[in-house]
Amino acid sequence: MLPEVFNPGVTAVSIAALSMSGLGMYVSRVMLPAKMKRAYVKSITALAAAVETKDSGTVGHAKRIAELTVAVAQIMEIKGRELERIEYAALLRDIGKSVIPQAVLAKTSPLTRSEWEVVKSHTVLGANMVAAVPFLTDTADYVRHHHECWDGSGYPDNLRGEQIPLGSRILAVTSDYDAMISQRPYHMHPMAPHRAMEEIRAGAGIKYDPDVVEAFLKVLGEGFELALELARVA
Amino acid sequence: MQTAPIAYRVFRWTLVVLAGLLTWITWMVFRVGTIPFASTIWFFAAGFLAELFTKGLDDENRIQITPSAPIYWAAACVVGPPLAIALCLMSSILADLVGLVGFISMRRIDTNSNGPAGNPMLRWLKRISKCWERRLNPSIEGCIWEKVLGCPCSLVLSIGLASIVYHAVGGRFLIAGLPEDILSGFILPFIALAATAVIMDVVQSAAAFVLYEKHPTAGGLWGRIKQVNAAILETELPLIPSQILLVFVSLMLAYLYVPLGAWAFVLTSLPLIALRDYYYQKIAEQSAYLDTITTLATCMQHYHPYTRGHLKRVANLAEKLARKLRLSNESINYISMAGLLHDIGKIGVSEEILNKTSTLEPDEWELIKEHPDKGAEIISHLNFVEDIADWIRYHHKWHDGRGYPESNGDLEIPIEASIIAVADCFDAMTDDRELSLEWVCDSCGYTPMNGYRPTQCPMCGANKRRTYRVPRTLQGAIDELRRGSGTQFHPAVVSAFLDMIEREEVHSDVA
Ligand SMILES: [Fe+2]
Ligand SMILES: [Fe+2]
Repeated sequence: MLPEVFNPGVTAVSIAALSMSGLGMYVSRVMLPAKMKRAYVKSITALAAAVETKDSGTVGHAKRIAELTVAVAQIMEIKGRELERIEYAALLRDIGKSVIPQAVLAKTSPLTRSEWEVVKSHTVLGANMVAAVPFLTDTADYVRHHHECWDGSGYPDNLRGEQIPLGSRILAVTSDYDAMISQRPYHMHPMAPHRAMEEIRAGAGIKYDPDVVEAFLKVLGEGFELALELARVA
Repeated sequence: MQTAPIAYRVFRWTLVVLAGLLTWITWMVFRVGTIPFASTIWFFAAGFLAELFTKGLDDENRIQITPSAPIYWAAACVVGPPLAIALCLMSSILADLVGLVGFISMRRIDTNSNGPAGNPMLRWLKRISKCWERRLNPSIEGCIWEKVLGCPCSLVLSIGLASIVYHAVGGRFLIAGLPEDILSGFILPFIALAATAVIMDVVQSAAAFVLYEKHPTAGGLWGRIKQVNAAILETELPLIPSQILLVFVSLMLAYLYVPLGAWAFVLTSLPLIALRDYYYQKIAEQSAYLDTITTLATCMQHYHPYTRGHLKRVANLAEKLARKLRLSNESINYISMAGLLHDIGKIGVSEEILNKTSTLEPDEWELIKEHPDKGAEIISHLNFVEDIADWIRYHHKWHDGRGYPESNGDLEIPIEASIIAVADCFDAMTDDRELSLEWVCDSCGYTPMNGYRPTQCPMCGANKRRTYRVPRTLQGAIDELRRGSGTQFHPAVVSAFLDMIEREEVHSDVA
């Protein structure tokens, strides 16, 4: 038996069989899940984009905010599932607006007190929706608290400082930045990016987590701003 | 349960007779001197395990590859036709019997406790019992003997014929040692063998498909043959890469078996396990991701007054219809998701427009018309197994080409989209919780029978309407479906649906 095993034909065919199976396992366990995950992110992005048409009338904020948020999180050395959580939260942060009447969302005149309450409820509504989805349950917290402020003046729970989940603290900075530099029904004149950065810097320690602001400014300093501008022009 | 057409049953029994004949002929022609017991038993055991593996491991029977085929092909060129036939017959029948035992004990356990929990033994039993459940599959109707005998017999036919071809083109049976000229004495004849077996399988299933009317088609036998052609292209073409892999693996098995003995099975089963893992993984991941998108989308739509309960009912109706029309397992699996998602594209449209009962402004109308495309966009990225995006994209497309989204030229609307369209309209017409408003076309005066509120006039295509309050009736909805059959709706879907209503398989809130 042994001498036959060392026959070159048999050895070659056996090695072929083994490498085929190795390749197959690699494709199904590494390449396929990565491909599916990218597809999933695209689906969620499209879903978020559908909600955006109702909110701001322009599409692409969720995607841009998600990219920026992930970049900031990476600077802060967040990795793995935690990074994914933050990305999903960034994409889904405003899906609660899907159930808020457009008449309120798109209103250009100042909101009444009760209308403002309704708009504020998008954080809780969105978190409830996300919590119902098996894959995304753990991102619900980030969605819920993305309008909290460092000094406790935010909503819905008036959390302050480190009580606010880190993902939400990052999201607060990036989504505010995006809102400042883009046109919305209630502010028709967007800020220039450097002005918005100044604004964010001024908010450090008041509205925003100083560490997050530092990381955020680092990201923009590294040419992200340029990339963002290019993306907008394209 | 409907009974199978007589031609189909005759065909099945003819296969049984032919298989018997072929077995007898090979036994006469290839006289077996001393039977190589050990090899026969090894191949038999491997074939048996592979049968269990094929039918058992996937809960939904959705795996498209059969690891038992390459084992039988290799057996045919190692031990020769008569023994190959005998061992594939034995192993497939044994797999059925084991499946039956598993099935019966599953029944026992199910009645004693409340279903299988995390117990691995029970999970195995459940998997094994699938071997038998497949024979009970209601989508292939007929008497049980026909099913039990029919499947092994069609296997015998393809393996027997393939091994005869192998011998005829100069293949040598490897049990006597590798031939001098390995290319013309083994490899090329082997490719002929595998090709014959695959062609036999395709021909047999195509014939069964032609004789067993799956969807009612126009154009008689010729129409059905054309349909089968399309079906074969659709199901077989994507499988060609994996078929080639199977041929390759089987070739390796035959080559390695003589020097390595049973180890050859271990070595060559690894690529097959990897391939199976790939399909399983693909389906599992797609379902998981689609599930989360569906759940999320359902939550988002839940608060809309116009969808309360509607999505769920559409999903249920669509699934029932898909079963009724005997669509593929994949379609049945995914159509309820598509039903839940069909209007997700409306998520960005303001409530004011959605609930408007008067005439829509042109730009509002444009917004509404975009919703199938937007919805399709959302899940188009996750279309790995089935083209679900198109089911959603065409749920407002009429059978005669009207409706939206606009398209040019001949468009093949997927039957799943037609199913969702019928379920959607029927539910809109019978939902008494919705605003019971009558719809009247402002251009042609057409009034649907029921509280049906199409976005576009079914008669003249105009988008103008007046509405007023009326009660709804089931009969009105039925009349409306009947009237739209062939123009707005797919006639086969409508007739299946009306049949379901007649059998009281559809529950509606109105009388
Ligand atoms: Fe928000
Ligand atoms: Fe629709």
